[in-house]
Amino acid sequence: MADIQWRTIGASVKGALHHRNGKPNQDAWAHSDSFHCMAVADGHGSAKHQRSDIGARLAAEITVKLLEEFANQPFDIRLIKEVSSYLPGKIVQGWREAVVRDHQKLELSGDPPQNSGEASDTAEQNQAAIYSLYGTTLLAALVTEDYALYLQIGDGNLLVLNDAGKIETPLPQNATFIANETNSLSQANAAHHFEQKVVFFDYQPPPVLISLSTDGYINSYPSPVEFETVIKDIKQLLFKQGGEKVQAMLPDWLDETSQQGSGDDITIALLYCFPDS
Amino acid sequence: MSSLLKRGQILHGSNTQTAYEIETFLGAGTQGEVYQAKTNGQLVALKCYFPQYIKTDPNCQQRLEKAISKGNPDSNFLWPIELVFTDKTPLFGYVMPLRADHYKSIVDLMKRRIDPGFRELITACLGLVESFLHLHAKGFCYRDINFNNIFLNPQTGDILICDNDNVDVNGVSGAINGTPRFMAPELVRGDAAPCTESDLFSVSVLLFYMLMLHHPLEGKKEADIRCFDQAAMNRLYGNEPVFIFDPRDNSNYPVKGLHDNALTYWPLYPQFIRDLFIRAFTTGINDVQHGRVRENEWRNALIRLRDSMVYCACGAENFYDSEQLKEGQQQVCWSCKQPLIYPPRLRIENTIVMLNHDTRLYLHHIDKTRRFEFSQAAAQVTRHPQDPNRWGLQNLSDQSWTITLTDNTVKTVEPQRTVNLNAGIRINFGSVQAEIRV
Ligand SMILES: Nc1ncnc2c1ncn2[C@@H]1O[C@H](COP(=O)(O)OP(=O)(O)OP(=O)(O)O)[C@@H](O)[C@H]1O
Ligand SMILES: [Zn+2]
Repeated sequence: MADIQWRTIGASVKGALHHRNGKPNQDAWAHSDSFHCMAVADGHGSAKHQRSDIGARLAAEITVKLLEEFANQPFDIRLIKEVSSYLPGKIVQGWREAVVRDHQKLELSGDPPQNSGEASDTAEQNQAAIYSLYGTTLLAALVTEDYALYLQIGDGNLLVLNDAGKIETPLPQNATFIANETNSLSQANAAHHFEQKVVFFDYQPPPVLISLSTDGYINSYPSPVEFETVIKDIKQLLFKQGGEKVQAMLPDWLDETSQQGSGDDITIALLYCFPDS
Repeated sequence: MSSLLKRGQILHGSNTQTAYEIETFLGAGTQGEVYQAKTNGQLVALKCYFPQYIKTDPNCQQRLEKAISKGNPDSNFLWPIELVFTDKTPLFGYVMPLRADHYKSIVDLMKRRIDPGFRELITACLGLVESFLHLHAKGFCYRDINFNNIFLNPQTGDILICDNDNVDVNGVSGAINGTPRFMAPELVRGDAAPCTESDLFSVSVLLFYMLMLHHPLEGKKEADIRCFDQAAMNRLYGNEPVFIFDPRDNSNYPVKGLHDNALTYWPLYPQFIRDLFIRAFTTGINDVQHGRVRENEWRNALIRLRDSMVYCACGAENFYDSEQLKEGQQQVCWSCKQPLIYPPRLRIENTIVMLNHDTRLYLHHIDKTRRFEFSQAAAQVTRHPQDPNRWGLQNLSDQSWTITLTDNTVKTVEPQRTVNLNAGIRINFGSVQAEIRV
């Protein structure tokens, strides 16, 4: 499978609602130029999480960096699954450190968070409150010649289109969570709440397309089926018109979708591997 | 996504010629795919190997045949029943009992998708230790003990051990030597072949994992690793393993914020359990032959732990810690931080059993010749029907007990009758003497 060429495209647009209320886009995405990996994050938004736009950006960037390092290791293939189980912990650790650095920077520049007046009892609670300011979800994927690796915490959609044209969801969908609140990179023990999977290509062919999207996208459609159709349509367009063209049009489509649909920020990142004319 | 077998396809058992009809795809691992299959109206699980995998593990079939002919160590193992072959293709695999849906993985425990009480959790640990004792007694070693292969029923603490196709006789190096994180350090270093002793290390890791929801070697040293690679793994689990609660070396102490489960759960358990873990991960790391905690030691300690459970008035489950009391320290509830109030207790020989409102005693407790028998209750704590403040111990066995009151009068407690839980009453169960403490 040496001739397979993976490419990434993606876009993130501010929700129609956020245009009206002046909030920033709280989604972010990142991808690698040297390896086939990408990440999408959806900051929680509300006042409690007022820096979640930064949190989302940091999450996406750090994850892509760690996935690059991971892909760059000469592992014994048998250990991939095992070693990958440390990624959530390392992502959480890296993200928290970046968050604390950002927080200190903002404090120094005299930009404390608004209404964080409630004094916390302990240093730990303080710490947790800082993480929470930056709270975000995270989706990520990495493909190599031998395997695909998928990671997720919190809501959002990770879809895979296989070579038979069928949509698969390699990670368990809507893992139970109490009180309709999403899992978050900022929660205690976050590493335990990641879903992750390694799929080897020894016995099944690699997918043709991997899609990561924030829930603003799927929520713009009446049901998951319509959303899946959109993903298949994008694949067709990529196939017919090529990546550059689709990349150029993607933000407009997402804008339109948000306006007609959820009103939320929408972000999508795609890894695909068929001829890009 | 399944690729090897189709719904409705028939495979034949190599011993019985039984026809197994493929129904649904259950999942794929690195070695093969697992399906639900039907035979004579009965459901089984059928694992079919990827042909490419078999090339990398040529002893697979032989190993399975050995396991099948020796038979399962006990019914907790989803043990291979027989080999199956397809008619025209060279595919093969084996059938095993099907795992029911209410069995959940340890991963579900970590993610808090299930939340069993301490009693069920300890019962699961006990089941695990006993099953590995049975396995080892048959001359097998498991080689790949890790939490993906252990399932538990959170309501009862019953367990199932899956993925038994890597089981082999002692001392044979094979395709699978285990998962580094659960492997004995000498295996991670490549110094030894899997054997009972290396399994014992893995069992201790698993028990620690289940009780503390954390790995015993993942502390500061793990936190200091930026990017996890094979060298880092070899260091943590092979060359420089340090227990996170090593009393003489705090270089690998858990880091707040990263290893909170360990910090939360460790102090909840009584000293005797912590001591056993300390031994397992200090001398047990270096002294492979004599330092490891054996199944029977775990078994006794886990039973004692289960017998130490007390309920705080706030409802939280706590453990009576006699060592702490001896040092004159008052125990406080881990949840509400109020001083613990102990229920009446039974001193049986040199162990203490807490007599909670729901405590049952088993033959294990009252008959020296029937140790480890927990199938039927031999006594239970009951409340007096007229006076809710009076508690008693009801004789559920078929033997009478002889009790001696504090004024030395001797009485007989016939089956079904109850003895009041008053301080100082001595009970003679036959082969075992006990005394009620209040
Ligand atoms: N007896 C069984 N009953 C029900 N499901 C089973 C049974 N055995 C295996 N499975 C399921 O089938 C899937 C594949 O299992 P298998 O043991 O082959 O691989 P694995 O343990 O996931 O991976 P690996 O090959 O890396 O050990 C898993 O989802 C597993 O839970
Ligand atoms: Zn309490």
